[in-house]
Amino acid sequence: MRDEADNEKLLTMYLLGSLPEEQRLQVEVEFLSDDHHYERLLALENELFYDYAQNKFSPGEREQFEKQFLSSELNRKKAMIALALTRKLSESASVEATEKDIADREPQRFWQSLKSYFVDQSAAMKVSLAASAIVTLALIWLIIGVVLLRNEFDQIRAQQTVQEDRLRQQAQQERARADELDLRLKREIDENEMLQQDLTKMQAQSAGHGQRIPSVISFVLAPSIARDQASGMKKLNLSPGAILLILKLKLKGGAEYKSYHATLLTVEGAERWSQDMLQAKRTGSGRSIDLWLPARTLAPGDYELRLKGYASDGTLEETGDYYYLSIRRK
Amino acid sequence: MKIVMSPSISHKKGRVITRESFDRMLAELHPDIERAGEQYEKIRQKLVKLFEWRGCAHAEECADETFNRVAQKICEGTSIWTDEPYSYFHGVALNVLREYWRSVEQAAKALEEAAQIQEASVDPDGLLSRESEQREKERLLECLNRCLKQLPPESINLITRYHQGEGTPDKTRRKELAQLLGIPLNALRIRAYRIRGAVEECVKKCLERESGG
Repeated sequence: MRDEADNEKLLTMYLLGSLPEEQRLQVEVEFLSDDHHYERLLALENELFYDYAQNKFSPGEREQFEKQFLSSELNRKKAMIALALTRKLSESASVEATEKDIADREPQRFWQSLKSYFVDQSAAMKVSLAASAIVTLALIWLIIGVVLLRNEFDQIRAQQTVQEDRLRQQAQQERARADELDLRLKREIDENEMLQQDLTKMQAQSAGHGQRIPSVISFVLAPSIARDQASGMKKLNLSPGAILLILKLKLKGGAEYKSYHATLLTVEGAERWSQDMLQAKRTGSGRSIDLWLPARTLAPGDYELRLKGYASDGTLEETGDYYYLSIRRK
Repeated sequence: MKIVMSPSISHKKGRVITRESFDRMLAELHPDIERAGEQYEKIRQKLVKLFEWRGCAHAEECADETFNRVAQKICEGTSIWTDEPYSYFHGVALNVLREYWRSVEQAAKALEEAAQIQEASVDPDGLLSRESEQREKERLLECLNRCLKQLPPESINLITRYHQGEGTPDKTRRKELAQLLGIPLNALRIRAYRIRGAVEECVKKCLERESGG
């Protein structure tokens, strides 16, 4: 059985009169007995006129066609019609293509142009646009990040300034206290030297008179329960030769401090003497602080001794211990 | 030049078809007279094309001569029918064709002799003939335009796509078109042929009207 292409070629050869006699007879038997086969052959024959009109034949085929078909007036007319029709179809196809081309070129709206601009970009352009978009986003993100960091930095800086001010104040306070302590230390050193000189003088005098005069007086003071001069007032008689008064202050069992500050005040509230950085020491009966006072600075009269403690942050706190004594001269 | 089938072909053997022999032949084709007439027309058309495709310039006359001879055989009492009547007509047609070619050869020899006599003669009607051809072409184009306007747009579209297409081979383009229409390639060919046939028929009739025929 012949396939479609072979069959078409064979039938074309038959129509052009170039098929061998045996095959020619076979084709004729087929189309005479088969209407469908016959119509197909008619279609193919008609198509040859259009192929001829469109110059699709080889020179050999063209010659065969002209010899086979164009000898009759009827077929020549048929060929003329085929030529005219194919030209007409060619013109209409060309016009259609041109109209389509013109329609495609019609001005579009701005958004359509914009859309097509992005849609029709080349791959490289698309990559470029995508990269630009990423860079823009990255820049926006960077700017936001910088602004946030700057705000955070300003806050930290403000906090730092406050802390620096506080530290500066603390440093000033510490410096002032150090200056005060230094001053007191010098004063105490001077007092000690004076006391030492007085003591040496008195010892020389006593050695000359053969008498022994107590120069150091030690006195124990317990804290008053209430801040009341009359009830807790201790009386102390100082001899004329007394140089140094050692007051042993007993502490209550309350809060303990690193160091203590003692101030001697008159009943009128005037400060007569003070001492800082006093250390408490443990005894058999509890804790106590020793105060060394030059005896000559204490004029006869009633005094209040106030005791304050240094807390761990360096601030002075009232200990709540109050001592009272009355100085007499013999 | 018109080569007319020599009457000696028919008269030589005295084959003159009669009404009786023709009716007998039709009766042999089909018992029903109407169907017999249809069968006759179909066979005649096919024989005409066979003669055309065999290069016969007088195909219709040859087809008629074939029928005359078959009818004569029937009148003579020859049993011609097999299951397939076409094969008998085919055989008779081939004999008619052979005789035709012999007559053509004889006519050609006679023409050659006549041509030698008129060797130096001038054709004074040449220019007029060319002018006539030009007018005929113009009429043809006018008729074609009219006929194409009568054709449905889808038909014009089909034959345009069937025949026109730059850069694409006919086979490929037609195969794609057939797939698009959902029909076999052969059916597409016949559909295009029928459309073209309708245009050609329309143009022929138009030209006949124009020429006053």
